[in-house]
Amino acid sequence: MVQDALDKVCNDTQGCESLAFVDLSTRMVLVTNADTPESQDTLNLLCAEAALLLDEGQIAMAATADHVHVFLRSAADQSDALCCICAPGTDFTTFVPAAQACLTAISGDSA
Amino acid sequence: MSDDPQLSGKIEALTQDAVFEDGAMVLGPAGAPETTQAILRSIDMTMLPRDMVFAVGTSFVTLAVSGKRVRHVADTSPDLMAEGLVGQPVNVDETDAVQSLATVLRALFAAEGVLTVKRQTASTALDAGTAGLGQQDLSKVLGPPPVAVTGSVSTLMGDLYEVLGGYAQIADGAITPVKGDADLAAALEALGPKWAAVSQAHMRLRGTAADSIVTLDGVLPGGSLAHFVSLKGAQVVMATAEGSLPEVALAWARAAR
Repeated sequence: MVQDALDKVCNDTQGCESLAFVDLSTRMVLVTNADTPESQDTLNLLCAEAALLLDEGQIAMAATADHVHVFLRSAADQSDALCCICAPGTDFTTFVPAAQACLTAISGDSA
Repeated sequence: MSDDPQLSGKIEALTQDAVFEDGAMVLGPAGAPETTQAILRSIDMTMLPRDMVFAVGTSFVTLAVSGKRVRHVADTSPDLMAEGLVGQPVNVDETDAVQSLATVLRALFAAEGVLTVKRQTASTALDAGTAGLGQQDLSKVLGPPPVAVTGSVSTLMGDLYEVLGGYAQIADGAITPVKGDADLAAALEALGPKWAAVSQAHMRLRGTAADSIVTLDGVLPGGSLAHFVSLKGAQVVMATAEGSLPEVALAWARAAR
């Protein structure tokens, strides 16, 4: 299941708060990790941010002092993307490859 | 032969209290407008062929100067990433070389520290004609001196030294390249309209944050990532190598603490 894959990445990474698998073409949140504390409005905003920042690329980031948002676009299906909300202290060198691998797996499954 | 105003200027310069460090004359803090003026003056006072080594710490640019004109770049330190410019003549009509020289000088001016100049006998024979760039030409090319990148932004870029390809300053919506090769500098400068549109849309979504970084992919050549940074009042756009987002995220977390 897609949610299981999201849960695994989130649970394995200290600092990962939310993961959302989204469709950029419709700007719709498809699945999130089970324990996301975010409201639907916040997730919709996150999806809109992904659509804006992934306009020309495969990866994007928007961060403040408090949060880091990482956005990954699927190579298999350009409409699929993963939106991640992380704490600044997250180990991004392990998190980003893990999130990319997760997206590759779930984007292939959902096609 | 010098006319009276030139002669009096030279005498004044020779009699003022110049400060020397290791045989190099101290011109002032890098990036300060008066330091840039001192650089231009020192070139304007150089008639005989000389290699003038302008340095800030370990960063340096050696300009071959004669007859009050910069004839070519004789050498640069590796961190300025301008090896391709060395030995190329710089003339007003050679736009690419002149812009590359301006980018290298801006990078040196933006470094943190004191800017010094050391004069050496020219390593190659130099023209005595009207080729090259004089004080007025250089002043036009350089434009207003850039604000030195200091504090947290400097720390952030220091952390990213291994993946940083170049950067530019953002002021009043204009992007001014500071460091990087000519292609990257042009690409960074061209990001102005794109960033204006994205930043406005992003602000509508997220509001404003005092300190923030926005990373875009697919907008720079060679797979480089563009990072628009606003940190402790300074604004820059940095270019880092493809695949370097994890390093940037980690460096950002440290810098924005």
